[in-house]
Amino acid sequence: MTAVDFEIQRTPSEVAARDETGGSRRSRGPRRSHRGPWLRDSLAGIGLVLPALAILGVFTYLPALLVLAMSFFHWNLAGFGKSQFAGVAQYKALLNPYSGFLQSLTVTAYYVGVMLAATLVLGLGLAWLLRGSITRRTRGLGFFRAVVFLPYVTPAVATSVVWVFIFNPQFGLANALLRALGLPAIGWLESSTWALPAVMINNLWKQLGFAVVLFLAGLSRIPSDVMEAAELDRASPSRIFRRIVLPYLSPVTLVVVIITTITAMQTFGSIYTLTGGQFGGGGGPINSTTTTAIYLYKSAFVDFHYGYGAAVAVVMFVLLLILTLVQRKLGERYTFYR
Amino acid sequence: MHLRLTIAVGATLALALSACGSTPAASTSHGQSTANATTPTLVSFWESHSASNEQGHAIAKIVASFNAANPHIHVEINVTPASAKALAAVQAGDPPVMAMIGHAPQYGYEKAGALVNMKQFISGPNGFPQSQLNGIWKGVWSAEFTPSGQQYLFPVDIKVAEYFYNANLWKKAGLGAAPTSWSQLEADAATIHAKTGDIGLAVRIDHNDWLPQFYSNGGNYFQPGSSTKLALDSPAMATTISQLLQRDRSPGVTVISGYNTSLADFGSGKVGILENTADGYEMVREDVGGKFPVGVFGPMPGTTGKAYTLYQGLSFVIFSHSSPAQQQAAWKFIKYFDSPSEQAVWSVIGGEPPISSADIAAVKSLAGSAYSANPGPYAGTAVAIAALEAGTTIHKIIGPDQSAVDSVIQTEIQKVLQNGLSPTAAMKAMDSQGDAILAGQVVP
Repeated sequence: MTAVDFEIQRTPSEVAARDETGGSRRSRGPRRSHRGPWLRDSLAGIGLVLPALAILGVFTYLPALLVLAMSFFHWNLAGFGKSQFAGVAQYKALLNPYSGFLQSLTVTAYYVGVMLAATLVLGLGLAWLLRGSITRRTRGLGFFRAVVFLPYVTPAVATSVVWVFIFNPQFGLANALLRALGLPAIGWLESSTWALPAVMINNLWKQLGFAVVLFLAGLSRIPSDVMEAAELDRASPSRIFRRIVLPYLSPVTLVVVIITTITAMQTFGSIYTLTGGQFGGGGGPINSTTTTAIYLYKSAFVDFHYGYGAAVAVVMFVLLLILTLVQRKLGERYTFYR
Repeated sequence: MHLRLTIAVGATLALALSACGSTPAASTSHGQSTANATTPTLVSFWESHSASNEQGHAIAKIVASFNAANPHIHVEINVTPASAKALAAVQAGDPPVMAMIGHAPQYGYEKAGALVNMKQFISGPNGFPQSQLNGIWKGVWSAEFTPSGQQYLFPVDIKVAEYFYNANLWKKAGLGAAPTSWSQLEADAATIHAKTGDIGLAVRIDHNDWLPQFYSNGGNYFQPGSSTKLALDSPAMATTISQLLQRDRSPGVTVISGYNTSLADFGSGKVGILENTADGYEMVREDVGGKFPVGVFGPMPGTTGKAYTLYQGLSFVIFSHSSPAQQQAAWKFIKYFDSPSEQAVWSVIGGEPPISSADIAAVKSLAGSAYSANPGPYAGTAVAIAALEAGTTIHKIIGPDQSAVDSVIQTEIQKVLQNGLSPTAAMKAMDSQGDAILAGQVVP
């Protein structure tokens, strides 16, 4: 039996069992008999957790609950006292084809789908190229890793402004490149076909670095003895990649999938900078970049339907929650933890 | 020890959170309501013009001279996206005393009772001078009211459509007088492109010009006697869409999206004519930086022979959270800002047309002989004043659904221009969707 086959045949449950018997769990120790020290420890724990909990409560959980409550009201800036109860009317309105909400979901699905696929393929590809060698130091690797990660730490709006100039149909770099390659120029942000791909290019450039770092971390955790054994067994590179690398990377891949999905669904700054402001604050031409996040903003802060905007936010949250749970469930089934 | 630590952490947190609730800025907004005789009444004023451009300079100059002339009042400018930011400030119960905002947000404020009705000041003992009031441009004045006749807005920042041209490219192309028809504009654009290789005419993608063009072609927003049923499915709209289609497909015409990049594009010297507004004249001159002279002309007439122009802009508002003394002080400042002498500063330095025909003499006097020069430093203002004097200024639909309806119309126009939708289908969609929005059937 080769090392490759050995790794394949070990199921996740076997691995889990081995880990448990391997003593990875901390033993509980003797049960405390005195109430005093326990209470003291608990109070100290609560005291340490309290600051973070209070900040989260005030700035995250409470506003989230308020948004939920707002979604059932025709919201008035003066507060609940002056707001009119609307029941579920605003949720029903989301299904009205004229509202544009359903179209925004389609745009979001397209955007999230492409971003997810591109992030996984390009992120893993770049990480593979930048992984380096176990046995010898590769010159310049750190520099290239930094170059790939750098866009991630730049401010979204500032870089998107630069991308507006890059996508300028007349004088922009993007079309200059196309022309140099003998290809026709594209309308980019003015075109209902190309505005969303332009946004995708901008966001891939910005966010890919984070996925690369995660994949690099995952790649560095693949045991070298397994890889060496596979090479000794003359396993082909593609087989090594499929049967060792991908299974080992599955937990990281799950994290990348969840983070990319959430980030893509919440993307706002770059879309607004690139195509917002046209057509009354919505997305690009013919609402081509009106994702649900942009639609939420437009409903609440351009059309001033605050309660309706809150309903959009609640539905968006529920959709994200469902997506994340589904991804986790799938992850549990297909992820290999060592 | 642990208990003490817990208490200390809790106390620190409580202090930190209580500090969040009261900032020095917040306290300065209202602190003057109990001001004594020696401290000036503070008027916090939120507005969005960059402090570094000419409009920002003009506002700073007017505020400085007002503060110097009124030692018992102190107007404090806060440059911020006022229209959006004041919404959060109202919700937090801490808005400024006054602001310069767009028209659409007023409906949210109105529902919250956050704005002061200006009527009490305009016709009060310290009211707006009647002669100047009578001269406020008709299309501008009517846009300051809500559908129910309330007036929370007072005009200040007036934008009307204009076309800027690069006089060097214009000369190279052998062009003479400004175009007087849409077909001539397209022909001029084609000539510039053919003779110089540069962009003949750069137009905005969002087609804010559809409305004045629609009116110029004999259209009306609403069906006769109605303020909720749209009449966009009409021969006037068909003509307008056809004109836009023809224009956007003409050789030498390029559609552009970003407002700021359009100014930069023009500043590069590679655009012959740029569609813009009077508000942008000073900004485009800054981008050009004296590399070439910039001329200006107004929109062309439609099938009715009239050239309507759309009023967009910002207006003064006073927030009701402020004290009566602050409201009076704010009104005094508004009167001062909109007085002929300060409107002259606003027009000559800031490049904005004045709010009233009664201000024109002061503008011309301050500008001097250069007022009529085109290209010239005041050409944007002079052309805007001429358009306003023609009495063909219109405004967007008044009411809380303005932006939603506008968005529908622009989307349908784009579907014709980009996706090949038939104009008939687009016009039907405009009316049906717009009517549904106005009837509250889309968002209840």
